[in-house]
Amino acid sequence: MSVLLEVDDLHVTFATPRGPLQAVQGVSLSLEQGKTMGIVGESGSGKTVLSRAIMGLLPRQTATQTGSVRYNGQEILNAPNSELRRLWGTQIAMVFQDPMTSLNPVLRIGQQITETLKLHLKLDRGEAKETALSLLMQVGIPSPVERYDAYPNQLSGGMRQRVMIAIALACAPRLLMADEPTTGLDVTIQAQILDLLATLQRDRQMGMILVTHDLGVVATRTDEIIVMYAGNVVERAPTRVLFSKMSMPYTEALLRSTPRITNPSHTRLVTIEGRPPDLSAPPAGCPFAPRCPYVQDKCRNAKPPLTPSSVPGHSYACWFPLGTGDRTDDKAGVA
Amino acid sequence: MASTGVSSSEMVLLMEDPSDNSNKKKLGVFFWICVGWVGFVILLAVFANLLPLPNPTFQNYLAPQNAGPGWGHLLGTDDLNRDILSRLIYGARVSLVVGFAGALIGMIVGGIPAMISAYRRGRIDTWLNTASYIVLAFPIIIFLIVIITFWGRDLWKITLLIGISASPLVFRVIRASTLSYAQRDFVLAAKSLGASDRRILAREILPNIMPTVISFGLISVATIIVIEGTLAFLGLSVEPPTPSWGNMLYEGSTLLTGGKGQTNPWLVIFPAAAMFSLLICLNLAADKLRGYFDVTEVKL
Amino acid sequence: MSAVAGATPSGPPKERPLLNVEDLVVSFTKGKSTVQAVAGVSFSIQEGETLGLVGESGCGKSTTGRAIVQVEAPTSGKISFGDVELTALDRSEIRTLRTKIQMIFQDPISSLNPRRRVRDIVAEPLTIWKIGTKAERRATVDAMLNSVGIDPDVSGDRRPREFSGGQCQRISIARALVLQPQLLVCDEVVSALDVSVQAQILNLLEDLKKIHHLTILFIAHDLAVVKNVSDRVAVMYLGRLCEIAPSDVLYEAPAHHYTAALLSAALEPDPEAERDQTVLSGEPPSPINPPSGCRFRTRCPRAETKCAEEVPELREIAPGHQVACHFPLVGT
Repeated sequence: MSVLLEVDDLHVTFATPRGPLQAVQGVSLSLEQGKTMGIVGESGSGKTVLSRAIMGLLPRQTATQTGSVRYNGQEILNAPNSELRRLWGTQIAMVFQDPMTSLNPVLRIGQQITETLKLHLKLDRGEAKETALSLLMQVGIPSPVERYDAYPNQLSGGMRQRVMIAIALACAPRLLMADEPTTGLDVTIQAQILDLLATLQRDRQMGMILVTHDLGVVATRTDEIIVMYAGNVVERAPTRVLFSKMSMPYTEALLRSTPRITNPSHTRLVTIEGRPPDLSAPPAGCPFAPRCPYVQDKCRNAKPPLTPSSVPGHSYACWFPLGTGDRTDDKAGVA
Repeated sequence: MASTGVSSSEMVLLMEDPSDNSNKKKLGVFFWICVGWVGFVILLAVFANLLPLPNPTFQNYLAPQNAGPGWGHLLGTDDLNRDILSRLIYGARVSLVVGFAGALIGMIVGGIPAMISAYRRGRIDTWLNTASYIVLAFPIIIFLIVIITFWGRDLWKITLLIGISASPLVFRVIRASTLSYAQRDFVLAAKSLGASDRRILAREILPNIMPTVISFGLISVATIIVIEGTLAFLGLSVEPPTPSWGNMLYEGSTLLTGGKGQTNPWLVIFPAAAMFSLLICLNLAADKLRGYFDVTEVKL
Repeated sequence: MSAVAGATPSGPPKERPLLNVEDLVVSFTKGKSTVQAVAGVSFSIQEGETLGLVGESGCGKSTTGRAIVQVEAPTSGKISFGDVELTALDRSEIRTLRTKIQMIFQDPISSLNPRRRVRDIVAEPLTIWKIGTKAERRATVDAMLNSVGIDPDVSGDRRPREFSGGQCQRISIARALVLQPQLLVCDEVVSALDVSVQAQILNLLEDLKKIHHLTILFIAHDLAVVKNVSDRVAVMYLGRLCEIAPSDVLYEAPAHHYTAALLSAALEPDPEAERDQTVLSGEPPSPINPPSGCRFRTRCPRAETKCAEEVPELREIAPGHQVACHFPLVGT
């Protein structure tokens, strides 16, 4: 399996009126072809900035990016747009969250697909339309011939997202980034879309990155998961390992504050008090320290590095991983 | 391929910071200069009779005719030997009254139905909306010409008419603004709390559309002053010898090209400059205000 | 007509439910087409219970909530609150009853007037109804803000844009509770929030429910969230009720095929979770032209000709468990 994407010590800092905002602080990851990686985090974790930085979509004037992002060995961080344009669509593609704002509302969807085909693959009109129709079928849109001439607002949310996926896959990219692709969609449609992505990924042997805030989305559909908090990677593991051997308290807190169908009704959810830190003035120690129920003095003073655990592929950033420290707060959460 | 760039508003969402509350925008020096000038003109006009100015309608045969700016008459005299500076300051009264009062009338006549229409929707809205389109399509100058010709040229009549003719546009602007707020959940919340429609319009919607009202109001003032000038040029503004900037332009235009054997460009330059400066200041102030009131919403 | 009362898990049915909805129909006309967003829904809520109302987009659950709060006019049907029949009242009488039924909305930002200060927003209900003196109102408001976790001294004079989504939602809750309503309708109140914030708000609602003796109608599309707060859950599809049952029963042994499909599609944060492949195919039909008979039949694996001919009515298959299906998974 070749390594498709390698990110090394990526830092992204935004220049804001209030001072520099460190949205991403030293993130490293690598993705092999044919594998799916999940990036999980809440608002302010930096996951969206990370995905945009990898794609090269951040505005150069305000975003300072350091580190390395290599696609297929080629360095693409801070590459000029002319170089990136050769990769976008043909090698790397992105599916965004809200298909209504990502699709052009005044163009027919058929046109939006063929546009990218004609541009990148230099197909003529007839070939492009044929390919587009076959794509629409592959993404599961019923009666593609009729839908070809439809406008985005004539389609439901689920259909629009399928169109977005069709556009992203039109030129057979090898890396697909999906940023919250199913947030806001109905439950049954979410399942359909995620299954569709998984099938397409398998068939085309693409590498896929799923960025989401929902642990449920990544639990059964990823090979590896990265958990982000306040711009840092706080835990990384193969999916099964993450859920069975989670070591970082934030991961545990995230899981325990998610309501579960399998829990009886009126289960008291374990909450994390407070809010994520201000990224323009990141604290000295562990970013989760102010809210961690297991916090100790060392946590406040020194930032824990990402340490590998005994399980291969699993690393976490914590001085006192779960199982080693005692709870130091007075909140006894219900498991 | 979907968007390849990230706009600055998207970037705000990307940063996902929920408590950005220290960004106080300043109005800037420029804004206060503009406001200052407008205020100064208003003061001059209001207290004109306390100033050491000769009577604007007094034709002083002892003074030189058509003189350029000089010591005795700071801005010169016109061809009837009247002091231009004095006429300019007294003339400001007409422009300011027509401008501000007319804008106010337009705001009330157009704005209140607009708010009700946008809030209630339904048939009233459809009718008023269509009516405003129809009225807007009609050139108001013709309407004004006809009515003023038959009704008379008193200052209050002109003010009232221009104000009313501004109301369709006010209606459209305020309706659009109200619509964007009337759909929001906080209006629904107020309704479910038992607030009456009147209370909702006054306490929930009006404070939110205020920035638009004020900005658009100032621009209306500017536009109305121009309309008055146009009417004067057609000979339909206040009757001479009452000075108004439009009148002065009208009368002065004949002396631009030596119509009566003399040329006196100052008769046109000064009122034009006065109008121009006032309009620029009003427009700039309106624009700055609009920017200042642009409330940034909470980012989830 | 369908059965009306449901038993709370803790005791026998009370005499009359706090809220009783009978055959509610809400339709919208746009030009020539009429859409029945709610097409004949009946259920009741006992005092002190939380009824979850779950369904996907377009099922009519939000419209039902709004009809109950009287911001949407029902086209037909009966809504009774206590002894009073809401649908028979005129505008001014409805207005007085508004204090007893309150609603919290999905979008935390849009629910608050961006130009007003937090204290004024929460005090607004008291001002509208002229309750108490200025000092008394201030005290009530401050106490309420404290109880939802917002410090009035620090935040009372701030404007909504200075708060996060979760905090805005807390302010909305404070505003809704200041009139001491009996029934609280929560319309997707946590859908727009992060997971950890969502957990805080759900816990807060549970606490406040006990303190203020509230009855709650909790509308949401997330099954796990709904199960977490509800005593009983009702499932809606395309304007009609499919199933009502106590939470634990519904999730363990759903009787309606749609409920089963929803449960199998739910994304559990557990990699070992069994992925039951009853993923529902196709899209929900258009509400303008719903299928005849049972509206779910176009996507139902069990559909037969009877389903197209006869509309299944809600009937009781077990105590407290009602289902609208000709061939339910449980009971017959």
